[in-house]
Amino acid sequence: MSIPTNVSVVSPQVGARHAIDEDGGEVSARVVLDAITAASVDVVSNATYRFSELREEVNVAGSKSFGDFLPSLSYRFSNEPDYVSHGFTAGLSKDLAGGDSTISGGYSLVLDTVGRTGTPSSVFSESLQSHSTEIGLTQVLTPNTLVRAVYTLTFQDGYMEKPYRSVPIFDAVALQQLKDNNVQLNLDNFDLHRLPFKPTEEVPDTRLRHAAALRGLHFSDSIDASLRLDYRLYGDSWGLFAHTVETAMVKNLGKSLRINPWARLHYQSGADFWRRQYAVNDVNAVPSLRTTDKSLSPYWQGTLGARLEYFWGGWQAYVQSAGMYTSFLDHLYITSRFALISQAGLRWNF
Amino acid sequence: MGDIPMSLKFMHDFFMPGNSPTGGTCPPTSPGTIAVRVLAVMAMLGLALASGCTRTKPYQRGTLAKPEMAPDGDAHREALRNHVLSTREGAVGGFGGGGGGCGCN
Repeated sequence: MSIPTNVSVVSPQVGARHAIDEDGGEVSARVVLDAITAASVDVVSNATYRFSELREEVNVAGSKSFGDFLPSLSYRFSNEPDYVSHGFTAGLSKDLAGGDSTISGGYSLVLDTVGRTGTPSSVFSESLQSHSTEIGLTQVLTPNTLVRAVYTLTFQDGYMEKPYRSVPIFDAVALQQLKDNNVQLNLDNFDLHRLPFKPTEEVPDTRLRHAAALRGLHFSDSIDASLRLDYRLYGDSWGLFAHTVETAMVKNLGKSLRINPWARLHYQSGADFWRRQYAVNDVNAVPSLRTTDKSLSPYWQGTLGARLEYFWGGWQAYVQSAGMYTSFLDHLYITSRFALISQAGLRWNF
Repeated sequence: MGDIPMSLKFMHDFFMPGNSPTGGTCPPTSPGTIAVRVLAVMAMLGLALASGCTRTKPYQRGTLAKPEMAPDGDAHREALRNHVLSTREGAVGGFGGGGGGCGCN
C-alpha cells in the first residue's frame, strides 16, 4: 500500500491598504481563500487517502502614529468546514534614540472552535484558546543595516488533537518478534500487526511555547537589493525544540517589478511523548498521551520560494510559490513529502 | 522518541532543566522562570546591540525607509506566509504569529 504524498495549496487573495500617516499608520483589509489538496497520513488509517478543503480568511487591521508611539489593532476570521477561528491582536511600538531603536510589544488572543466534518456541532465541538505575547527590539547599526530581536511566549489551553486521528497500538511482544526477524513496521505492513482497537489521539490540554528570534537586514548598494537572515530558537512544554534559519533577498527590477526569492531550513526534535509506534504489554495500559501528528515528530524541512510583485498605479499584483520538502526522521507512515504552495493576489493601495 | 539532539541540549537544559531527558536534576522549572531566563537573554542581546551603535542622521535614513528594509516585512505577505509555515512546522512565534485556522495537512 502506498499513498501519494504531495500537497498542493493555492491561495487567491484580494486586499486594500490605505496609509494614514508617514510613520507607519495605515488601515487595511484582505480576503483570502486557501484551496488545499492533499493526501493526509493523519487519516490514512480511516481509508481517506486524498481530500480537498477550502478555507476562507478575512482580516482587518489599523494603526496610527502618535508621536513616537505606534499602536495597532487587528482582527482575523478564518473558516473551514471543521475549524473556525477568531483572532484579536493589539500592539504598540515606540521609537527610541532618535529612531535608531524601536521597542515593540503585543498581545494576541485566538479563539478556535474545532468541529468534525459531517458531524453536527451539537454532537462534537471543542474549543482552543491561544494567548500570545511578544516583545521586540529593532536596532539600526548603520545607514544600511539593522537587526531585530523578538521573543514570543504563547500559552494554549484546550483541544489540540485532530478529531480524525487514530493511533495504532501494538503488542510489545509481537513487536519484539518482528524486530528479531528484522521486519520493520511501515505503512505497508503496520495494519497487519496492530491491535484491533483504534484509540483517538490524546495530547496535553495546555502548551507553553517559547520562541526567540534574531533578524539581520542589510541593503547592499552593489546589487541594489536588501538581504535578510533570520534565526529562530524554539522550545515548548511538550519537549519539542527547533532551529529555523531563513534567508531572503528583495530586489526591485525597475520601478514596477519586485522579486523576492527566499530559502528556509527547519529542524525539530519530537515531542516528549512522541513514539514511532506505541507498544503495550497490557491492552488496558494504552499510553495516556499518544499521537501520529507529523508536526510533533522529529524532522527537517527545506523550503525554496519566490515572490514576484508587479505595481501599477495604486495596484499591486503578486504571485508566490514555494516548494517544501520534508524528511521525517521517525514516522511510521511517512518518510518524506513534497508540498507545493502557491499564492496569488491583488491589492489596492490608496 | 524523546531523545534530544546534541545541538538542542544546551537550550533544553537552560530553559527546562527539570524536564531534561539529559539528566538534569533541578526541580521542574516554572513557566515564569523560563520567561525570565528568555527575557534576560533578550535584554543582554539588546544591550549588546545598542552599545555598538552610532546615531544615524536624518539624511542617512533614505535606505532604511525603503519598504524592503521594513524590519517586520510587509504585514499581509508575512501573515499569509507565516500561516502556511506554522501549520507545517511544530514551532510558532518569532517573526510573525501563526494566524488562525487549521489548514494543517
